[in-house]
Amino acid sequence: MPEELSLERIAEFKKGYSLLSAEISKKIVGYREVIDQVLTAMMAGGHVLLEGVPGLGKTLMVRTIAEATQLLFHRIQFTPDLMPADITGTNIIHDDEHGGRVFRFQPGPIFANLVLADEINRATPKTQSAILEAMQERCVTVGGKTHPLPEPFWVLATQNPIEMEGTYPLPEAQIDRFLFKIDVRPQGEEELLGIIERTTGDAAAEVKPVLDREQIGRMQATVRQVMVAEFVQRYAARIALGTHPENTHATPMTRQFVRYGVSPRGVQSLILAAKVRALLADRYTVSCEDIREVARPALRHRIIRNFEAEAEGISSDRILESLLESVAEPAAV
Amino acid sequence: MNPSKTGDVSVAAILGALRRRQRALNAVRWSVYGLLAGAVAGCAVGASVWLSGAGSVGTALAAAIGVLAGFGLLGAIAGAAAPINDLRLARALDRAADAEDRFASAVQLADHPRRARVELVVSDALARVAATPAEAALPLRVPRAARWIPVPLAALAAIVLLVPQSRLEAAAPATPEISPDEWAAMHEDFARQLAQLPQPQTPDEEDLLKDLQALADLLKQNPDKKDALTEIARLSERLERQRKAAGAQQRSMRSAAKALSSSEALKKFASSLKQGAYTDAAGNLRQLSKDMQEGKLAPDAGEFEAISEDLRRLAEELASEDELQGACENAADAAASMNREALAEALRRLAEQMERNADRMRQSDNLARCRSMLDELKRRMSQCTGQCKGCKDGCAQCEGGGAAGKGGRKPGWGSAAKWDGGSITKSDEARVPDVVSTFEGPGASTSFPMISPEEKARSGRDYAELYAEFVHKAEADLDLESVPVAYRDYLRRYFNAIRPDDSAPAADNAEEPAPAP
Repeated sequence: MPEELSLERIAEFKKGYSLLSAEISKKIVGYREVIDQVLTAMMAGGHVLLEGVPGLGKTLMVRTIAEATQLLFHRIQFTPDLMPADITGTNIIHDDEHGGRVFRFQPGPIFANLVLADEINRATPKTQSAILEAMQERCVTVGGKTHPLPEPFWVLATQNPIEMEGTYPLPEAQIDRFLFKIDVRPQGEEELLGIIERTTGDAAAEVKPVLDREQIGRMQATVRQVMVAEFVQRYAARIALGTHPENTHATPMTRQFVRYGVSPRGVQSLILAAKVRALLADRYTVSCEDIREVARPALRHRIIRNFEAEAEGISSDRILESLLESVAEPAAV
Repeated sequence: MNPSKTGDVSVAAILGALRRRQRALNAVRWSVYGLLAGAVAGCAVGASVWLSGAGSVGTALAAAIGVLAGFGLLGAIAGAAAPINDLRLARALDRAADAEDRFASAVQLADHPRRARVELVVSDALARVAATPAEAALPLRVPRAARWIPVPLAALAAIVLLVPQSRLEAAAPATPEISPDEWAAMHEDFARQLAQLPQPQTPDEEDLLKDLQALADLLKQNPDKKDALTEIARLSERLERQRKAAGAQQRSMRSAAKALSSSEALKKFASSLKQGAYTDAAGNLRQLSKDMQEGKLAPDAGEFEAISEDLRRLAEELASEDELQGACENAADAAASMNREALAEALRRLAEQMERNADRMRQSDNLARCRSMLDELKRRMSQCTGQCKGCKDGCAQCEGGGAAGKGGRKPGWGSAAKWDGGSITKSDEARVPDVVSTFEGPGASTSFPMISPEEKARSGRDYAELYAEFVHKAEADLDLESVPVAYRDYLRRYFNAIRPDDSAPAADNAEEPAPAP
């Protein structure tokens, strides 16, 4: 049984989080919000989908996180000819010590603590779905035998939103398994200067491991111990229900532009991510403001827009914005 | 350790303070709503009081303010008793203390089974909100609706100031029909007339005088007009009974004396007669007779003729006094014969008759004077303006409403005016009989005989017979649909009024019918 929540554990959590964030910032210039969101998702035990054009440092960020955490890191470059077995691993014939031949499971790159699924939308749906079980169940079944994945297990995927030729959009079932979808946008002038400074000289920034697996596990357990009052849960539920066009909490924009709303997994993601934010704010309970803060990354990829929204360029963020403005907090003053 | 308590403060204590504050605020807020509703209701009540004429400006404003205050009080009570949401209070405190939902979460999680965590949550929340007073969390804000409260009151003030109450004041007479000054004047005149009456000589006259005195006292007390009229009617009825019982004539001898206007020899007699001194009048006649017998008075032919005419007119005036009339006619005949001795004898007999009837005539005069006083009083009480056609000085029945008929205040004939059942066919005819005051004032007076000597000829048909025929014809026509039902009853009452008196002697049947009511 994990140790009970205490001031010490909260301090430990904040310290580990700060260390990790600071270490990542050694290599990654700017992107404070992206780094916070990635770490939030990681502390909540969720997977992250980073979306952005090439060259923004998405892969570098994930690699840096791996370096700073002393976790087993694997990178999978998704291509159209990538096969599921290339990810999960397969049974291959081995010569045993007695001279016989036996099938032995050869783990794929999915067997790591931190998996970078680079350009995940370039693989075929068949291959993409190979990591479905791994993401949700945290195990892989090959040849009728289930192989558990190491703990902690995160999938940090990237995808390019503009290069659509030769890509396969992620199916809803898979995209729903990501706790956060983070939009990585181009940086500003000052950040670019910093990037130039750090990456074009002869002195490369060194990232030291600051957290080990056990520490991260304790941090994740601490997150789970944060309490959520009923009115905050109700607020999160109202937001989730508001994404459903047929629900009473739906906004006019939802009714007009949304085909399907978020699943219960979306509410879970909302609460878990909000717990991390509460800890970072030195609180033992989640507030409605925490919910609002994490609502966009946690819900934007779960809202399935209709044709009209796509035709008119109505983004999920805009729909969520209207929703957050209209959904009333319980017992609001 | 109680997880919901840290140090001297506890969640319950803070919530208690918040609840008290919220109740006070609710009372204020609801009282404002109550005042707003009360202002509208008060405006309606005040306006209705004002417009209905049930009260003055002060009454209307007092009613409005009372309703306003009542609604405000009800609102305050309802606000204080309104249910309170603890979570709402806790969130308000969180907002005031910038506690980011700490206290609200602590309130909701206070009963959570994970006591260690709850303790952390509560202590953290109390540490953040303990220093924040309830007043900061729940500041007093007057609802925006309060600004509309003066609007209904201003509307009420506008109604009171701009809408007159006249039509309602007109419906309810503010002043009595007869003012105290008028009552005082009537009392003064009546008392004066009462003092001029001769001293009562019989128990009946004493009683009558007492009753009249009581009426005078009643007038002094500004009585209700109806009461005074009732008393007058009672006294009039009593006078009529006494007159019938005494066999007094309808007309006064004093009035009959006006017929003596030609003869010089009868001047003293006429003067005494006019003053009601019947014994003196008899003495004058006896002296005149004596003078004639002794030759002291020798009338010429013209004087004989004047005496004859005066006595004959007096005989006509004394139609109800058979003996006096007969004696008077005899004297007139004697004068016409220009026989001095015969005239002296006739005058002596007339004097005897007059002496014999002096008391009765004096009583008759008193009754007539009393009746005159009552009629005069009644006329003044009816406030006749003299606008009716039927009387010059005004009468008790006209009441200033003009002639009877359509549109008047007296019952008119309407379509029944075209009724062909009799002579009453003129729709504009004055239906009200003249009431002539028999009280003689200080100035000169003139009398008009109602029936000319030519009309004196008696009818060849009995009145009762004529009446029966008249009623029979009228009854037949009254069944016609063209006669309104309301008028049928009115007409029947008319015929009842002119019904011949069955108790009257047969000789009286030849008299003229009573005037129409």
